[in-house]
Amino acid sequence: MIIAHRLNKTFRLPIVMEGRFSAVRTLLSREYRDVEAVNDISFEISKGEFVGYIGPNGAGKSTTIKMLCGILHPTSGEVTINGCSPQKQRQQVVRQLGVVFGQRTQLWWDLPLKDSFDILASLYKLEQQFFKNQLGVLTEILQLQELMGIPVRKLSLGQRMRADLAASLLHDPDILFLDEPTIGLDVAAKKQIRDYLKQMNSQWNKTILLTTHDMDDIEQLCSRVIVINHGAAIYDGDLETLRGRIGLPTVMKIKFREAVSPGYEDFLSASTFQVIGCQDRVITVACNRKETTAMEVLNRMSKLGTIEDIHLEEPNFEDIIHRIY
Amino acid sequence: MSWIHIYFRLAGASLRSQMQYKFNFILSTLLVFLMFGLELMTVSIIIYKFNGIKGWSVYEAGYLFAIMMFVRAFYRIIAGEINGFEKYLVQGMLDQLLLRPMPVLLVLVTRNFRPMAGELVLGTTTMSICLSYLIENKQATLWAIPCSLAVIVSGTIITLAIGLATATVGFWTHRIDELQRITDNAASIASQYPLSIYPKWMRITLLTVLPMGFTSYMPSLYVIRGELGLWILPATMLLAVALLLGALSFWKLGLRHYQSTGT
Amino acid sequence: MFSLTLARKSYARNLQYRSAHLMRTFASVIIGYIYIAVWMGVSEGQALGDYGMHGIISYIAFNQACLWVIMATNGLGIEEWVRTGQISHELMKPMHFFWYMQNREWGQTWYQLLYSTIPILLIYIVVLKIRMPEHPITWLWTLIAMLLAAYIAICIAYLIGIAAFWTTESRWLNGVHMGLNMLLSGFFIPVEWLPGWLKTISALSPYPSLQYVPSRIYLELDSFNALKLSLFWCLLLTICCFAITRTVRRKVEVQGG
Repeated sequence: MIIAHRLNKTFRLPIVMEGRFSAVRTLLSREYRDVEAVNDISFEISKGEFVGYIGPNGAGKSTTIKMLCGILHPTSGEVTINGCSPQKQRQQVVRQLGVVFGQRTQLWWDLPLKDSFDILASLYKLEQQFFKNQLGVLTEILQLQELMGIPVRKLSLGQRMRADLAASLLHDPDILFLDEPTIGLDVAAKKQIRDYLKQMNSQWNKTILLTTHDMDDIEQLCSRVIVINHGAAIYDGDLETLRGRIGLPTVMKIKFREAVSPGYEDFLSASTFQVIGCQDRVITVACNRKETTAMEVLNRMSKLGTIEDIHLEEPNFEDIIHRIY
Repeated sequence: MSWIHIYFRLAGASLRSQMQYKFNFILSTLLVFLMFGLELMTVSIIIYKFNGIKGWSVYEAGYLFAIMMFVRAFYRIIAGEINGFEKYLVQGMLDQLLLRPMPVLLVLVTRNFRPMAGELVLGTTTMSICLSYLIENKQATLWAIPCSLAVIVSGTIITLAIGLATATVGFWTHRIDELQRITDNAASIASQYPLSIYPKWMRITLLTVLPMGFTSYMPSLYVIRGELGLWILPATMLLAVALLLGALSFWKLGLRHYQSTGT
Repeated sequence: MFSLTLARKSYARNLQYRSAHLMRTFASVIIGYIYIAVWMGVSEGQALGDYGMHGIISYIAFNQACLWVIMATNGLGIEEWVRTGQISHELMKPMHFFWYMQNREWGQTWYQLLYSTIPILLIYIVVLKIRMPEHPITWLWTLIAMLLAAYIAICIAYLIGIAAFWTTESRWLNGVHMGLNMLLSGFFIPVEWLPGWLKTISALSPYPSLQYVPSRIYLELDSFNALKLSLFWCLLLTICCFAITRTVRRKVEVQGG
């Protein structure tokens, strides 16, 4: 269904000269710096899959997605979507795609939301009856009834994301590409969007590729995960195996009622976790919950004094990448 | 046919967006009218005071000016955003346009659609005054009217082609505002006057590298001065179409090099 | 020294875009050249008052170079602040809003003087052999005339920017200002050659101080006495700017900005 074969993308940036007459020299120079944004990435995604595409900032996630939907031309390699190349048959391919860039909207900013859908319908040359049905269904699922008359610029971020999702689904594409669809949303809105996406995948059988920074998105939605770093894919498989590989790195901050006695470091040195900081009454430890449980850590810590408060921190994304290596 | 339908649909949406700020829309239309009016006034005062320019009478020079007003207005109506294309490249705004199942150019040209009413009114007024004077004095006949329409059409196509080609350079250089100042602004200011006032190197440039000389000057030689011959009109049209086709294939090549906001 | 820091900051910001600047300067030289060609075209076999052919070429060339000094940023950027609402923040800066805006803009003006006006003038002097002042002291008067012109231009831009409080957009107003400058300042046609009623309007407006005065002084057609007119307009516009700032402050306070 979606095939990426040995994709490479190199950006060519002119080198800016320094020093005297630098402007003239930059203008005339033919020197370039090559930046490899995507390096030999291959994968296949079959119908109905829900794939998470993750990696740190600047790893090449957006570049890959932009190549998949025909915005960028790969330096080498090939993309095939339902047997067509999005670069060579762009207009034909984009009809089968729904794309949402979380940071941008595809809606008409100053017009009421309803107008955006009308315009999109004529852009995609949808049959009147089909459009009516489709919009009816989407309006109901995504709860857009009350938003239809409001200019897009006045929608909240969560409302706008729902509207954008509807816009990308209006022409009933088989495939959805979502670039950071939950970015900047509050917890409730995030949960809402996730529920919709789950429904799109399981009930409507849409194939979905999603990039995100939010590990919860991945945990709750994706059956398969591709991890990318420095332009190269470093993991491609199901979520369980990934979890097994990286474990669940956790940072715990434990606050004691009284100041900790000085000998604590020796006492903790032979543990299954490491002390990474100590400040007055608070000891910070790092552990992997694959090797030890939180209870075990607490048990041992409680020997140092009465625990007043515990704080668990989410694993940091860059750390996870390091662990995969 | 359906593309034309979509064009009007999108242009209408853009117009309606602007109408959301009615006061602004009306005020800006009036001020633009005033702005171009002042420019026209300045130039006509000079040419009027000195009884023409390099053997071109006031009315002949006014005719050239009017042709360029139409050309510029239609160019901006059809493709206003090509003139401001840099932001699409630098801010990656072209991404969304590439996701539509239709030619990118078609989506681009409907953005920020502006009717340019001010320039059209001024152009029509100037054109009527000049042509009616020239016809009254037997220097031209009614035949000049359809000819002028043809000149405006071919001129618009030439300007469009040059504008498009300049914008396309941006796919490699990213920055094009400054280049457009030369190919768009300077060249169209230059074509408001008879080419004969310029030194040789500039005349040659305007007839070859940057063929803006064909938008108004060359065909006008025939239409209002009876020089050259009728052949110049189809020749200009042919050139215009060839330039546009060239610009379009250059544009297609450029799209392959679009870098989005990728770093 | 807050004002100096402000000016230096906006000066340094401009230095970053050098290749763009080169192209812009080149375009400006060409456009000026077109205007010169128009004058050479109309003046064939005609007497051109106290200018003469060579004089009018120098006049137009100088104006084109000088234009960069008096092309203040559209509304000094106030329009943007009004739209984003940042304006109430900026109004609270610890110096008078008008001075604050003046100083921000002066960095830009000095930059344009050094990197646009002077290079363009030099190009015209070398390539077109345009006239240069015979008395060295004229350079000083020319510079003063240009600085006064820049001051007046900034005042006008400030008033245009303030208009955004009522119109929300000042882009077109700025366009009209440039159009008026072309017609009334003597930029394209020396003021004395305007038809009677326009000459009157021009004489009653600050526009001649923007281009006509500096240019005539540079060509040594007028003495430094012409600077009195510029000084008068500086004073009058300063008063206007202070007055309007008070009005706007009250407006913002009422709206609870």
